[in-house]
Amino acid sequence: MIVTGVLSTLVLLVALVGRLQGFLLKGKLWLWVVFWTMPLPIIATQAGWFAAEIGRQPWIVWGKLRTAEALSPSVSGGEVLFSVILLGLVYLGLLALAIGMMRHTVRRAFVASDSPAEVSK
Amino acid sequence: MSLLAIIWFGLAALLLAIYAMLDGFDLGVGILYGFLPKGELRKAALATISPIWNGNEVFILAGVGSILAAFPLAYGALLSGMYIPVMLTLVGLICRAVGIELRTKAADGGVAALLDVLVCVGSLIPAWAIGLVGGNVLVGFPIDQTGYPAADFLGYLNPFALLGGFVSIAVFLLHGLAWLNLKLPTSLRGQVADRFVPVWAVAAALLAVMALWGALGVSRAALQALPGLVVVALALVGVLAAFRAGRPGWSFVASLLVIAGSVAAAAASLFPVVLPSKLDPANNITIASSAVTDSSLIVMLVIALIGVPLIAVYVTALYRTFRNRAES
Repeated sequence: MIVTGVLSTLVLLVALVGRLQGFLLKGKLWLWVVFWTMPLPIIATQAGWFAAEIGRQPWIVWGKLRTAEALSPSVSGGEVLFSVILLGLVYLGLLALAIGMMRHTVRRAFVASDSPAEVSK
Repeated sequence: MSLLAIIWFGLAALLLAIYAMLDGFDLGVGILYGFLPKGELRKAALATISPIWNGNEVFILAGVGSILAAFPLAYGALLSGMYIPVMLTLVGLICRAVGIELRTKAADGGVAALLDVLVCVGSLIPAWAIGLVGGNVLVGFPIDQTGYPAADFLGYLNPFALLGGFVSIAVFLLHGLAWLNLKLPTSLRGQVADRFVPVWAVAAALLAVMALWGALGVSRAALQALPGLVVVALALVGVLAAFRAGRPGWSFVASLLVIAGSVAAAAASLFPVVLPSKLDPANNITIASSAVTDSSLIVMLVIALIGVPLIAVYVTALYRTFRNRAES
């Protein structure tokens, strides 16, 4: 979480300096660097959740209730496993869908900027 | 059993009724969407719910959240006992949210076809689960003397609860048709209007069977459900009469009352129990045995009295903005 935060800030600072100086922004290498910062906020959010959830163990409510005590006696391990696999598959599917639709949108933008006819309409 | 706890029992039932009344029609439209002919009609049907569906859905958080806050023991037993149906509902709601929101952004083809399926199936699962869970609450959970439901693999698939699932699907389909009849462009309305009477007949028949079975075979306090059931019966007649008379607005209002009456009948037939035990009435989770302290309930009531008017204002503003028929 902290590493991604520092990295994002660094990229932002470099871009800011570059903008003020009027250079750096056009190189292909730079565009690649910026491209690969896209997943950073997502990694930061997930890492934050990991820190909060794992860092709190063995408490589910800090100092009040242990995770073992909070476990529902009515829900079986099999049911929990089923829901974890189901939600995992759903989120993987959504990831594929999101990437697919982003590619679609980006490609459409490139097609539009490559041919003047498309831009004018 | 304090007065405040009784008020919160009523408020939780009211919030759940509002949820079913509002999200009911967009779930119904979502299911119908999958069966409408492709093209203009489908697009128009989805457009009638796209500005409002997520506002409608918020009320399930308010309803279930108020059970968590006011009757935490009942909440724990309810969600643990219904773990799989609740998880399936969650997945359904995620899928339909993605489907409705991305559908207009997708080019036709494979992705669009997938999103269409997500809208339809993602609406069908919650519509089914609402009736299934409701039926199970009326039948009772296998709550033992520890106060938790005993492990009961697939026990929630009992005949009365399965009937409940079909009832909620049919009632939401009717509600969705009443909404489309009110909102679709006049030129497209005829294409859904001829489905109205058959769906009405199925919904009315299923509701009648469930009411009779519930009153005679399931409920422990059937007489308390009577006022709600009378409202349901009168409103059902009103739905069809107003539709026949060419008054789609009144038909939709009557359809709202069918759902309100159904939830009221179910809640009243439980009172003062929140979640009955089907093993032993001594294990029933009641208002008295599961409510939090009065001081917590007062704090919640103050928050509700501030928050609910705010919600009422924005919901009213939203529906006023989109109050006209969606003429294209």
